[in-house]
Amino acid sequence: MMNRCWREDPMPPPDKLHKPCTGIIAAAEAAISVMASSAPSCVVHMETYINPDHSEAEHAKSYDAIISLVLRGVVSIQEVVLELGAYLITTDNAVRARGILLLAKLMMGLSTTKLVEPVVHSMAIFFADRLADWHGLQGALLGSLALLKRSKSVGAVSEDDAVRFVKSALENLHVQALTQQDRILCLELLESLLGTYAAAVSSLGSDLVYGVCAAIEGETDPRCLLISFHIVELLAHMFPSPEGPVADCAEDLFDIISRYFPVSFTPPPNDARGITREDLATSLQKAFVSTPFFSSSCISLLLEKLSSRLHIAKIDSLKYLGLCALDFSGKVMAEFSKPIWVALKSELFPSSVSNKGIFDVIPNNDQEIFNETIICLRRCIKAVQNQGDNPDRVNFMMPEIPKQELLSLILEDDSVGDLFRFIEHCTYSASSELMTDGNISPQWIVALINEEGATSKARVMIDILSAVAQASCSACSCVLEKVLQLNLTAVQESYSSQNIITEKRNISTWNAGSRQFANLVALLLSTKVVNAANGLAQDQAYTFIKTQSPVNIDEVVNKYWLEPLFVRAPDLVDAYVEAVTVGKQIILTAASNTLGLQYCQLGVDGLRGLATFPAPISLLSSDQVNQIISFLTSILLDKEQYDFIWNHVLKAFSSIIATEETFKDFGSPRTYVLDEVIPQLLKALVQSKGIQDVDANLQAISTFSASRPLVLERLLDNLGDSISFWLPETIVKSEPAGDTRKVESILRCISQDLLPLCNLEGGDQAAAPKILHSVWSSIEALPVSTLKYSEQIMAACMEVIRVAVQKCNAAVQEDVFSKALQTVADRVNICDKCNDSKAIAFSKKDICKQSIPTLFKLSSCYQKIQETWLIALLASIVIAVRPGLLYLQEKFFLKLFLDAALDKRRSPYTESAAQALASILNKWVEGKKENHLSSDLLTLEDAINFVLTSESISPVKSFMNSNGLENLDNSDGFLLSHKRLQGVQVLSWVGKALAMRGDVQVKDIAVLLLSILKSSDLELGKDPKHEGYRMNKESEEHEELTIAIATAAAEGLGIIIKESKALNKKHYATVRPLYKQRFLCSMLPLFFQALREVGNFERIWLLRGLGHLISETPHTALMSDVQLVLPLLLEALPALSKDSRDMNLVLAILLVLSSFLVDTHYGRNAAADHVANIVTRLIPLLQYQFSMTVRETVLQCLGAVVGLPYSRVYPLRMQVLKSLSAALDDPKRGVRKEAVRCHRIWMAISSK
Amino acid sequence: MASQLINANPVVHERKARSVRQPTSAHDDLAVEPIDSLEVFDHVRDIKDPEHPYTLEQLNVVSEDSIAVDDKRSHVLITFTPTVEHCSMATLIGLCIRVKLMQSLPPRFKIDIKVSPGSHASEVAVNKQLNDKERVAAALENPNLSQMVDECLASSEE
Repeated sequence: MMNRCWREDPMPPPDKLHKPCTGIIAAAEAAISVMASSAPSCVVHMETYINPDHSEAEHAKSYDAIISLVLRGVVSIQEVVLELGAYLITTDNAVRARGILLLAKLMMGLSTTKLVEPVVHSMAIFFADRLADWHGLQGALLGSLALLKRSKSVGAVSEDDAVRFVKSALENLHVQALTQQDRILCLELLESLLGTYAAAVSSLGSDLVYGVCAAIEGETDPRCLLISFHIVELLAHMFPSPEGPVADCAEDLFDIISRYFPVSFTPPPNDARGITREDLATSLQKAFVSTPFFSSSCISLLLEKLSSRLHIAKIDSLKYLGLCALDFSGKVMAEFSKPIWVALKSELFPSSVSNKGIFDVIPNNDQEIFNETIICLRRCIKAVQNQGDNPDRVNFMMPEIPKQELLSLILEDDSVGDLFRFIEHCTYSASSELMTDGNISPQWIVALINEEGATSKARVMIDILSAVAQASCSACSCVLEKVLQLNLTAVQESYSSQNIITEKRNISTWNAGSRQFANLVALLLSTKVVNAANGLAQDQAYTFIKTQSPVNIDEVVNKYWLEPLFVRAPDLVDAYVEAVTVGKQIILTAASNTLGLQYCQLGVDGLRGLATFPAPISLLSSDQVNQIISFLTSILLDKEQYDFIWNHVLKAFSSIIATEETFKDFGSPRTYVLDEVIPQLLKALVQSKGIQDVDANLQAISTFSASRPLVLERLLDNLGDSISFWLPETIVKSEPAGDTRKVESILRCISQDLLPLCNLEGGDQAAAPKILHSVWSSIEALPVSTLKYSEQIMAACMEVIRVAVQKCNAAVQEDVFSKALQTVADRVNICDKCNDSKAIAFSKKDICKQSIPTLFKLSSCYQKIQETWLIALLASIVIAVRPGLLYLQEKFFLKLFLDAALDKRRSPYTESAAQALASILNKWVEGKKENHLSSDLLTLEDAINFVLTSESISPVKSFMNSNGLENLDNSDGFLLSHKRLQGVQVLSWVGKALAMRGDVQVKDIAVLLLSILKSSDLELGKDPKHEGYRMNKESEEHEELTIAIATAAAEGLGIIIKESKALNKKHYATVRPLYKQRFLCSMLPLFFQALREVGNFERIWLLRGLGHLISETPHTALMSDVQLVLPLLLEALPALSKDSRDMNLVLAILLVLSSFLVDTHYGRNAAADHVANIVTRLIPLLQYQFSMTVRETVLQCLGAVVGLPYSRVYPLRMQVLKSLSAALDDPKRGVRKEAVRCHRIWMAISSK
Repeated sequence: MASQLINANPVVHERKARSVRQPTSAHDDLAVEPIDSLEVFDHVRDIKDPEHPYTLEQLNVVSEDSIAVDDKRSHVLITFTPTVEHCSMATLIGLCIRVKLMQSLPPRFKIDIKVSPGSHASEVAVNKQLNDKERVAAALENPNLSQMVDECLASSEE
């Protein structure tokens, strides 16, 4: 075999080596003047590479050496070829193969290097020849591919050479006999030939087609298949002519690819190639539709496969059929209309129901197949209709539908006929032949209105009709004509007698009479069809807008296909309005309101459908739209009456607004909502008294705002105005009244729903400053020394200010800030005017230039400000501004907020002040030294020191030196310890700021907090034995304070790590990644050390601190320290379960514990060592009296314990079951349920 | 199990929607929510019928109305209706209900289980058997029986 192969080789024997007739060598000689000395280093590497005995690594190394030589221009490729010459034609198969491979690899390496034409040509000749060399095939294929993929700019293969390649490939390559690797290369070769050199290789004609058929037949590898399908596609595009070779052997070609349908392929696990079933299916589908010559066999195949029982075959057939329909010509589809309709119908109606009535319940189909069938049907109709869809023709008259076309088949189907006949009959006579007794079975209604699940023939027909209406303009026109002509009379007729029916009969028993049922059917049908037409119109208008200029859209868009709808639009509007009214009556009179609700929803849906026709296409007059909008508005403003339908109406409005937004720039834009609804809504808000009305209005406002930026702007504008109207009045009332609640709700709505929608970059930048302005100016206008005010309103104002400032750009923030400072300064001036004549004034520039002493004067004066909230409002601004705004003035603000945070008088706002302080430190911008005097410049370190060493914080420090209460027996001590309490809070916030920045000083603060915990030796709960000698009231108060300080310190550790509303990315804080993990890691060793040093009571405080710290850390971050943390958590549980104030902490610890117990990797491993400990600690908590949530979580944890190693869990079984039987008698139902579940889990382990 | 099904074609009823009951007093941790018939029904509704893949609720063997609970006096009376009169599975169903309730209710409860009057051929005998402590205990000692009970209870949680 080998010898034969060699003899057939067209290469000349070695002795003729230098004869010019051998292409490659000759070319090389021609290209260069032959040089005797080629680079010797190259030869060494070459020999290494050629030798098949060397290892892969050596091969790779030598190849790298050669290619770098060539790329650097040390050796030219021609020289390499000359050197290689002997290896390329040797009779040693292995060596020859390596030689060819080396050349091929070099060509791949040179893919972006320019080569002269003769070189490329000779290479092409060589590789095309080598395709016949069975031994060197892989190299030859790689080389050919590398050549064919060269782009024109670096010297591509000429067309003649491409033909040479094809000929050689067709002649020599027996693809099916090759290994998978080579097959891929072969197919890639064909693919790139067909793709890049289509014009040249098409001259080969039928040879090429046969060759391809032979190459791809029987392929099974997914990678090869992907290429094969693409080759078929390319081939089909190459020969579009009906006399061409593809047309001739279309049947064979399709036969080959049709075998893969439906694609069934499960990728192997951990498949690196990433080919999915979907990839294969898509490329096969592309091959199917590549040429019209496949169409008839393709459709027959798909219809045949559709009748298969295999789920995937059905789904794929439906998908392919739909997509094929869009690509094949309508003519072909028209030919197949009848079989397609029959096949699809049998999918929609299972054969067993053929003899059932149209309203009888039929078993529910597979929902996925049902949906796919509907989509497929729509596509088929679109394809058929598009064929004859001449826009001019539908303008003025209905197109004639040829018999046997899909559309006419559907419209003339028996079931459709039945449906229409039923509606007609029931409307004019009391009953029809469908139901002689006039009673409606409740299942009929359920089956009719169900969106999913059990359904009826009538419902399916309605779905089909709406799918048809959405398919194409002419189809929609036909359906509208047919449906509206029949129904309108039905809808109207039955309404006139509606009231009598509702009065006479009890609807809840469902014997509502056939007329009413027919009415519902008609309503459903018309609503669905109207909405389908609407969907089509939206699609059309949208694609039109995207592709064309908007100027003359009114003239260009063809809207006459909607004629039948708009002729009857007034009647439809009346009918839908009536439906809502009737539905409401039914709900009011009957106990069961499903039917009434259905009426209302259909009515609203219909109205929405009519109102959301895109403006350029809609033929509704503005009066008609106004009628619809005002009817819907009346529902919107009367939530009490229309509670059942209110949310539905809200949704309808959302989509109306969205339509207005989408088509705002086209034709005559609509602004009904903006002009009509919103003023009414705001008016209603102003007038509303009850809190429920206010909430409903605000809900509507936030929903509207989300739908359109313009609406948002308008609403914010108006709300800002009404705030400045209300705020001054309500804010001074300290007692919550109706108005106060209303204003508070409005403020919350602004800060939580509306402002977050504002886009910093968008056009609505003005909204946030405006709101800010109105809030601030109404606060500014408050009379001097306003001491009584509503705290809720103030808190809401603070939030609005914070969010609004955050939404402003830097310049506006600066403005706002200087204005706020001015207000504060004014107040100081007023307080101060008796003894100080010089007023402090601020302008915008002052923030930067004001000399420090002036500011300090302000800070010393602030003590005199009576309005404590002013500083708090200032704080909310500082929290939200960008870094750098306070540049150089930080010291003043640090002092201001530090004082404010430590001031007991300002107790509701100390936290805000502390947050502002933290915010300043967190956003600290280090200054440049050269621009300022060094004394002016405050570094971050200085600032932190300033805060920590200030006299206000130092009491905290002294606390840890003094031992508890001993130093506190004078009256000063009381005040001092209050300051300590505030100081701890300030410390924790400063700690958070530093931790987020990643500053090391956070450790100092943490140590401080820890030392407070370490020196707290008081018990949280009242200890009975202490009561005897602690009757003294003063010392009791001291004791309480000390406890409060320790609690604050423990919570402080939580604050440092907790997500905060004030300090986060949104508020421009500096956040270092993983700062929580870092902080936790640095804290844990400190905790362990502290725990070793202290006694029992202090230990509990430390555990509390640890609990706060851990419960706020992300659970994944804890997993690496489970071993250390778990025993401490278990120790903390019983210690903390005595006092109700620790309730949330206990819950948080339990949640951490449960996350350990379900973590299969670290958590369970660590927990396995503590099984008995966990269970004994958890069981007493089953009786935890303060919270049922804790008890439930305990039970969940106990359930999770079972997942730990069996041998350790089993011995505890009796103990757990015994305690669970007590939990079964828990007073709370939720706990009992959880106990039953847990009990079952523990019962089950016995039978393992 | 008998080679032939006793009721080969039972009527299957719709399952009732599982109402998630809001705690009567969410804020008050001390308020007591007494055990009522719906809660007991929740325990037994998902027990699987020994011969069909349906639950007792689907076969209408138990319903909320057929359960009487007196939380104060710690007493539960369940009346169940076998699907056919001569159902030999009645005792097994009763046994399943008893075992399930023994596991799910606090031990203070006395549980009475009866077939509804007139629904079974040997009503008195079945009632007697189901409420005899000794015989229930003996039945559960029987490995075959206890395995069948376990199977019926196994799917009771979805």
